[in-house]
Amino acid sequence: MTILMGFAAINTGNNLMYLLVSFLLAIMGISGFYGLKNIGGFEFTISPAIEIYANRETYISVEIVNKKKWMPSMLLWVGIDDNFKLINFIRSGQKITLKIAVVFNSRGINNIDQIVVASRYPFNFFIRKNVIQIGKSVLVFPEPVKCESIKSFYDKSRQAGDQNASNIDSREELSGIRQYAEGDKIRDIHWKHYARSFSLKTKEYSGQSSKPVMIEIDEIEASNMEESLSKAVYMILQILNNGIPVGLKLNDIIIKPNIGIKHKIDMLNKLAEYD
Amino acid sequence: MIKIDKVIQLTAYMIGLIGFVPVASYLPIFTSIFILLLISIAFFIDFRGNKHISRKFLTTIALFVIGGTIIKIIQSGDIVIYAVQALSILLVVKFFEEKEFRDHMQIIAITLFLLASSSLFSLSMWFLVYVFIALFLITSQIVLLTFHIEDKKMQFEKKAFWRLLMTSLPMPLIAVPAAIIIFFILPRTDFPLFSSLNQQSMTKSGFSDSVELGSVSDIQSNDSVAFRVKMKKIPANKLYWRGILLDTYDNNIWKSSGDTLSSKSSRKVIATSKFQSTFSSEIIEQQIFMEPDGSYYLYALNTSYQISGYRHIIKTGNIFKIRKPLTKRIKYDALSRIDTNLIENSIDTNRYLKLPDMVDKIISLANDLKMNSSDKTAQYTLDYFLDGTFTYATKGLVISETPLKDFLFTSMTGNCEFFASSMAVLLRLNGIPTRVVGGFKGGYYNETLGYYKIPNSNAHVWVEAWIDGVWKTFDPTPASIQFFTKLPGNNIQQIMSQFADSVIYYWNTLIIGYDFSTQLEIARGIGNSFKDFINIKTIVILILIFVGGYGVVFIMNRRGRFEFNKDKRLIIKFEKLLQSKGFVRLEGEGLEMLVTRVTNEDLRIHANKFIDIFQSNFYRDRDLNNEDIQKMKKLLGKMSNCQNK
Repeated sequence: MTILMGFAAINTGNNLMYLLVSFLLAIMGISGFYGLKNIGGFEFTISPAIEIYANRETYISVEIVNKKKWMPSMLLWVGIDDNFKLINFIRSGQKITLKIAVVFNSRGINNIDQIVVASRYPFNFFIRKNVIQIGKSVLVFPEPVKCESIKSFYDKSRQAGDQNASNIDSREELSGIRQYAEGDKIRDIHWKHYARSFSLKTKEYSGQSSKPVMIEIDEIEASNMEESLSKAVYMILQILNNGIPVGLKLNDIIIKPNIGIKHKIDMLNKLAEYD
Repeated sequence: MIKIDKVIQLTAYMIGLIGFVPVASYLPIFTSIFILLLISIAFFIDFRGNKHISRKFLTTIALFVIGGTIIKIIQSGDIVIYAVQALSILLVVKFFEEKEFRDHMQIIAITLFLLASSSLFSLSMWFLVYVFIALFLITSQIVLLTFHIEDKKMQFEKKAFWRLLMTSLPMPLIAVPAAIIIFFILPRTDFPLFSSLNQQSMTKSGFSDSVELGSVSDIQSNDSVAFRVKMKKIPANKLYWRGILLDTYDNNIWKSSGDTLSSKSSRKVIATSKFQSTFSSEIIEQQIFMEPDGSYYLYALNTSYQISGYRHIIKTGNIFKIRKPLTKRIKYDALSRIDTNLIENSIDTNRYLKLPDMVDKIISLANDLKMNSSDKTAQYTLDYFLDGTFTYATKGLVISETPLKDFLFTSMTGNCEFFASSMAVLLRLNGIPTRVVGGFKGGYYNETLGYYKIPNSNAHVWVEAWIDGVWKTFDPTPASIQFFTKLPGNNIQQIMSQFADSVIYYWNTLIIGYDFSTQLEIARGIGNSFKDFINIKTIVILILIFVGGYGVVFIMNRRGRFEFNKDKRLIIKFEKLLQSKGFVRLEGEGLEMLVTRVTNEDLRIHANKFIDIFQSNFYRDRDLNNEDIQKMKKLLGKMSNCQNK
């Protein structure tokens, strides 16, 4: 349209039309500048969840700080791997945290190479994109796959320790409390403590679990190694969820049975990194 | 909470109106009222949330409007008015539709077209006001529409909404400097194809080829500006602006027979009339900005001898005539000599002596005024009008079949053309060839900007008598020069009026008057100053500075000192250091990869630490802070101390 008006201006020699065309061109230029400024000048901090499983949706927390001195940014689509979230407005200096849902398709080290910031602002004529290289690595655990043979592991541990399988969930006395970790049972949460301090703690019992279970990868019924790893993950999660110490034997690697979040992550790490 | 869709709806109407209002007064009044009424109904429907009229039906109407407009244009040949009418109706059609993004954009487009068309009707400064309001509204609207696309139900808290507007609204303001530059560099052409589309209404205020007794008072009753002249200030009594020459008097009408001296319609033609050479009078340069007055004459300070910058024909008596009545603002340059009379050795005396039959009373008055020489007769006749018996008035003039007689013997009150006509007739009766010159007298000088403003109310006629081969000027009108040079009102009013005129002057000279020739002038000016600047010596110096500068930059760049970015400077140092230890970074090789090749363990550890600090900042799109820089510098120091292995 500006071109059409420019044509009209030249062919009528009308300076007011020239003036209008000049303003339109200038505003188009300024809008380009606005658009570029709008998608730049951010600082990103990425924090993935502690437990990320292959083929399961996980949320990656992206903290965005608008570092521009005076200019706010608007209508920003912030995305990782085609998964985008919209920020309507972020003031200069403001910090916004987004949770972006991502699915990793394979276990092991996955890279979040870049964050894309895209926007239609100021005029919906085109979408501008700013690709920010971040090079963040995350370790993805194998996808948990239900394992029917889990009972045989319990049985094995019962035989070893003469423990009744029905008693696997029994507990003795409270031995302490610790920070709540994802996967802890709701009933183990120390609600009284929560009522006092509003922070979640998990109760731990001495001799809580039944006899420890040792998961040996080689003994899992599976058509391939990947499936074995996935089933192992499933079992670790299930057994730990029941408060039973679990250990892992993966070829030469032997992790002694134990409970607790750190122990779980250690085992899952080994399964994720298995080569 | 502010609902974004409601704001968009309201803004759309504001935008439409800002496009329609400037053209409304040029459409037939009933059309304008009808369109405004329809817009109001559409507004009502929109805000009541009533059902919209079907799009198909409205599109059919739009097609009919376009078809009808084409037929009308073909029939009447008047493109602009019918196109504007059609655009206005299309705007109404758009308002009746249910509006999506593209409909809003169409409303904006129609508005811009209407605004552009309004410039074909008027070149007033109001255009700038309309454009500014429109641009503010349009930029806000498009931004809001962009938000609306993302979420149709978007709502804002008042504070957030204002924050959003305050970020987007300055866009047109920021665009001003860029727009000014673009305005001046956009290509102009000397021969616009459709300049006829410009139909700015002009007041037919100027002189025509014939002046009837009493008709100059019509011009005088018009307060609008006739022209502005940029020149130095000269004594007020020298301010006579020559325009038209009237040499034939008949039936109370003065006419111009005006033979052409030079029919060459070139841009620069020097008048062939000669000047009285005994006067070494000063040449006054003028730049004249003339308003469209529908007349055929270019004005300049009496007595002008050259006009350039606008096509014209030179007529007898240094009169500069144009081919078509003036319908647009123009700019031209003129050269004049004041205190100078035109020399003409031989003239067609019959023409300048011819008179219709005169009543005896006038003939006897002429006899009474006759002296022994033409010079004295002329002076005596002039004195007769200036001795105080006659009074000057622009209103209540004689209206009769014999206006001259009634003026001379009964009312003795009149405006300039009664005085000039009477004197010219009396001189002709006494055998002195005489003519009447039409133009303007006086003017109001703007000291700050250095220009005279000459309003139409200063229209004036005076007399030239051919005595001893020279056309001598006489002004028999007994009006004080103050009448033509002092602005009415008190001081503040005068200052205000001068200020307002200064703004218009700038508008006319800088914006309206800017054309291909001015553009060419500027380009030549730049070219010339460039030419003056360029000679062998300066070329050699420039080359030396360039080569020297380039050399310094090249060496600094090689050494990595020219990198102003701290991060990059550190990386360059890091690479150089590893290079000195025998590890050259390959093309496309990442820093981490480079370090893995380092065999010396200490060196590798320090290098890895260095990269860690760098990357933790780099990947977060963050500049290095001082602490990091110090750490990195220390690591570089440690690395350089490592032994080569």
